[in-house]
Order: sequence, then C-alpha cells, then structure tokens
Amino acid sequence: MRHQQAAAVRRKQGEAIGEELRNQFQHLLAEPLPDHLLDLLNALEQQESET
Amino acid sequence: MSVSVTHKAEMGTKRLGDFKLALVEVLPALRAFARSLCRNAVEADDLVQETMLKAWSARNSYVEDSNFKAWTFRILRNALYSNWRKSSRLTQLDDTVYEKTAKAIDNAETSLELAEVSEAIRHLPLEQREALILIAAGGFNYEEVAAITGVAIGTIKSRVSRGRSSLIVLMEKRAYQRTRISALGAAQELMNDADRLARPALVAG
Repeated sequence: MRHQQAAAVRRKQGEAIGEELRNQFQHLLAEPLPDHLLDLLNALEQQESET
Repeated sequence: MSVSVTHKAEMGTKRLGDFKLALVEVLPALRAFARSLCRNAVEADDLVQETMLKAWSARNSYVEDSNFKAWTFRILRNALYSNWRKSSRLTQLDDTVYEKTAKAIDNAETSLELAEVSEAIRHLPLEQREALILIAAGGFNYEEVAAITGVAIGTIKSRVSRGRSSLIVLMEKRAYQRTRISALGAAQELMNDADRLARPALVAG
C-alpha cells in the first residue's frame, strides 16, 4: 500500500516535471527569432540562385 | 533542350525555396532545443547558425518526405557533441558530480518551480537531458529520438526514466533544503525572542 502511494507520488512528480519542461520549451519557442539567422538563410538562398 | 534546362532550373529554385521554408519552420524548435542544451543564448544561437549552414550544405542528402525536423535536430546534436568534444567541455555526471550538483542546486536562490526545473535539468548528463527534452517537450516519439541520437529505443526509454528520477531527487532535495532553511529561520527567531524577553529580567536581577 505504502509502495503504491510512493509510486503514485513519483508519477505525479514526473508528470509535473514533464509539464514544466513543456512550458519551458513553449516559452523558448515563443521567443522572436534573431534577425541574423533569417538573414543568413536569405543570403544562402541568394548565393545559391546566383551560381 | 533549353526547355528541359529551364524546367530543371525552375525545379531547383522551387526545391531551394521549399528547403528554405522548411528550415524557417523548424528554426524556433531548433533554437529552443539548443537553448535547452547550451549554457547561454549566445552559444545556442551560434549552434543554430552552424546547424543551418550544415543543413544547407547537406540538403542534397536529405531524403524527401522523411522527417525533416528530426533530420535537422540530428545535425544540431552532432554539431553540439562535436564542438564540446573539441573543447573538452563535455562532462559526465558521476556520483561525485551528482553530490556537488545537488549542493549547487540546494544553494541556488530561485523560487519559481519553473526556474528550479530549468536549473536542475542543466545538471543532468547531456544524454538524459536531451532525451527528456525531446520526449517531454520537443514533441518527438521514442522512435524519432532514437533516430536523432543514433541509439536503441530501449536506451532512450532508460535515459528518460533515469533523467526523470534524477530530476525528482534533485527537486526533492531542493524542497527539503528550503523547508530546513525556513525551519532554521523560525528557530532562530524564537531564540532571538527568548533572548529579548530574558534580557530585562537579567538587567532587573
């Protein structure tokens, strides 16, 4: 019984951690992309189409 | 002949545009993954930039209709490991390091649970950290993560399980430390009160 309760607590803790990791990832996903990364892609495309 | 060349060029341009668009689409996820693994934003953005350049150079090796996101994540991961190996900054978490880590986390002055998880996960071995992030947050399944990391599905399951357990232990230690600090603070206040109450009696005596 005690073992089952401990397992249930651990499972809840694991779920909470998963939730926090998802929140953290979503927060990072929502950050605006730096211009230099998009500029680099445009430059690569332009360079390729010129050659 | 010229029609064929023109058609080929059009197809090439279209493919190039498609490839660029696909990269733009996965950029936020790549960046979030890099930010989760690197120590700071500058290092993460450098890694994403390197990944973009490598993906662009290797675009002909990308198998059409295969999982593009997983393909780019694998490039990013390989670049990260390669860079860290070069600079010998990759450290494995053994028991001694684990103890030090737990102490470091105990001493961290963060109050939000999110910050605590974020802090704690940085102290996990990289293999466990990436497996946890990819499965729990990145939206990949075990099979995809196994393909990204180049290990068996069972290994990924084991890494996720061990990573989650380590995080729980670290978080519990943090919570215990917080309670202990609060209890010690309360005890100290009681002692101060007792001291204050005793003083007039001593003076009077």
